[in-house]
Amino acid sequence: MKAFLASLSLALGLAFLPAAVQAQEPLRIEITEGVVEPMPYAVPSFVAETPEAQQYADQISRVVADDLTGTGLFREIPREAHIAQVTSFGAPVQFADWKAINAQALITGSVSADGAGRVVVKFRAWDVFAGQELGQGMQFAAPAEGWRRLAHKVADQVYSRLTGEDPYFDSRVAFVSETGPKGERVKRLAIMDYDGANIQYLTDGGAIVLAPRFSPSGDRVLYTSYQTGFPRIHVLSVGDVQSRILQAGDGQMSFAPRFSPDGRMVVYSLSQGSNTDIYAMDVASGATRRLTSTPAIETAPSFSPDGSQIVFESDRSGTQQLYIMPAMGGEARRISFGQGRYGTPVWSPRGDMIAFTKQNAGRFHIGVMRTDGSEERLLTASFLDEGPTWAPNGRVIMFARETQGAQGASALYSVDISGRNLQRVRTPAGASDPSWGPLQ
Amino acid sequence: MTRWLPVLALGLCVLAVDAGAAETRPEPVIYAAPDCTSDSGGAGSDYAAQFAAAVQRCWVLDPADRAARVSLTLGFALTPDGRVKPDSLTLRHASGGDPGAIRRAFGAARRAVLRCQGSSGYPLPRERYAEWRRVELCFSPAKPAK
Amino acid sequence: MSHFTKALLLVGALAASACTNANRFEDDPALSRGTAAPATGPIPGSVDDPTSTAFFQQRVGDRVLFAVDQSTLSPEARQVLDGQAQWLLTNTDYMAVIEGHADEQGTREYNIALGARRANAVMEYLTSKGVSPARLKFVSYGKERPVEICSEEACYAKNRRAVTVIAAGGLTG
Repeated sequence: MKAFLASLSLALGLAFLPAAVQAQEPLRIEITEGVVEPMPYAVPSFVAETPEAQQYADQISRVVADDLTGTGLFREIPREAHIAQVTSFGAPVQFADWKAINAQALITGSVSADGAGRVVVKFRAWDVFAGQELGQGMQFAAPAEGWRRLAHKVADQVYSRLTGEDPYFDSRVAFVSETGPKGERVKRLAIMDYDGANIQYLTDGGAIVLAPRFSPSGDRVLYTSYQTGFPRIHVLSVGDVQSRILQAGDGQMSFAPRFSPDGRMVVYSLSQGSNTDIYAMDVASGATRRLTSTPAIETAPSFSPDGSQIVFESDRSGTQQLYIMPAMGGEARRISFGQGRYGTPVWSPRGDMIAFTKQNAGRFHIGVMRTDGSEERLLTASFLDEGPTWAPNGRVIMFARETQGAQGASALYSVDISGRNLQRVRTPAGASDPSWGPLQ
Repeated sequence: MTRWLPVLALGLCVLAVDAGAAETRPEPVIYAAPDCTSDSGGAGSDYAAQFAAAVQRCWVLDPADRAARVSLTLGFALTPDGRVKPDSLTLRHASGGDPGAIRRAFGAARRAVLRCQGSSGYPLPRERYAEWRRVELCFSPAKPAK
Repeated sequence: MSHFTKALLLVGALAASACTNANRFEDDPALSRGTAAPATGPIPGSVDDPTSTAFFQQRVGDRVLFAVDQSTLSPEARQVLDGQAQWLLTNTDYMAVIEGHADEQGTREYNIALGARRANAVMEYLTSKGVSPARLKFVSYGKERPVEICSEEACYAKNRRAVTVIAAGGLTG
């Protein structure tokens, strides 16, 4: 940062120099094509500053590396290739040794345990070729069982400094854990870290549960359960794992809920007779408002980040397509016009994109488009991809992929919005319907 | 300087290790885009094209980053054996992005120039040092490689 | 699923009681001697008993199938539903839950709504034939409960269905 300011002022200074002072014109060269490849970086094992910290030091630096490499934007230089050994957090960085192995970024850290069950991690990030520190060192502390969060916090900081993006590693994902054969799937509501660690089950599998949706602050999860024999929306408090039915109209099916950005409203679908419409409910008062009223199937509503609009799917044109309407209801404009069917739209946290599921020519895709429907890009293709959810920074999308056939199973995948870096999220059993929660 | 992030169930707290200089965000500085014409076609074109190709290999773009749409000109000086004088690297012009994007684009361009010189410097004709003693590299990511 | 399970249990219970009854007839000389046992009568609760749920499931047909992304009733479906209506009008003690289903080729939410359309189409048809709406409920399972699990049209065709599940007495839910 400082170097940048310095160079900016230097550039400004030069701009005011009389031309005559500059004897020979510089050689001018234009470059138009770069390469798209992960940036090489090195994370030597963090230094354990106390004996109890030893077990965490290596694990934390490993998770930091997994987070960074998992983005597809960075490539870790294996520790066997390191020349310099970092044995002290405070020692000067041997830039020449890191340059020699072509590490562009270096992350050094230390871990200590305070004897009271808390772990403290410190880190610094370096731009090796510039020979400068990236930002300033920081430290985080947490109870020992939270060591993975400490690692995610460090990785989040490094990611932000290197990419300029908001981070997303210290976040959780609500999803449906799936076991059993295809015809009798046992579905349980679960929450895990974004990387599949620390799974916590929230329901027992006695009733079908579908499509959990995190509240904007991560304190509650909406989901649809068949506990009563009919699909009904439940809201679960993550802290004490208590849930209650949100919508209780007799003989009606309610599903596809999603919170408003302020967490006070829920939009959802209600089926009455052959018709499915979108409604909004004030969570505190239970007061409802009908937002659509065509005889078509209208479902999968999702708020814009500013809360002013709702994107949803409707088959009012004859096939599933995406529409945007004001948050209080009213005239909807269609935004999807390509070949095939479009469903499950989700507004990006940055507000400029809509992610969706597209079904065309016997294949399913996860795609993104701008909010006016332009610049549609399909990021994936498979037998069955569906249900995108955005990382809190809007850079990565997670979704469910079901494989074909009688032995077919569902798993979670993530993909960069550029379409690169498709990765399976490690879960112990089948998984579907991910909902990415906020940065913690 | 001490900063606190939201404290949750885990009781995570955050504070800066260094009590040094406060982090400062650069003011928005958008430079007018200069004509990015290279000295191609002239006498120096052969070695200049090789030089460009060498740097290009190290210029890493992240197409999903706004920085990948920033055009910028990097100025620097070289030693007679083709090595970059590190302190001479400056951002001359930039356009097409917010300050954060420009900062990242500058970082990527600077790394490209520093990395690709390797340990032996750029292979440039020493007898024409006067021509390439100072260089302005214009990075125009119009056509990022697939 | 609970209703479907209940219906199965009901069938099982009826079958079990039929066996018990048969044994008792044999064990009780007074009854067996004094009565002309109906040689041709069906075992109550069996598939041959027109008042049984087994009869409804297998002889009348408890399900109708739909074309891709459709909820309109085919002539074959109407024929089956005519039989269902007749049965329900005859056996007035029973209630029914109509389950709508979809094949796996669709998004989860849309398929729930599609299953609701299918179940509703069946419910409307049955009520048009005189079955009291108070005896009918419908629920959609979307693509959550396929009966066939291959990923081919042969399976999909059987999964795009509405199943009328017979239940005794009051409905819950």
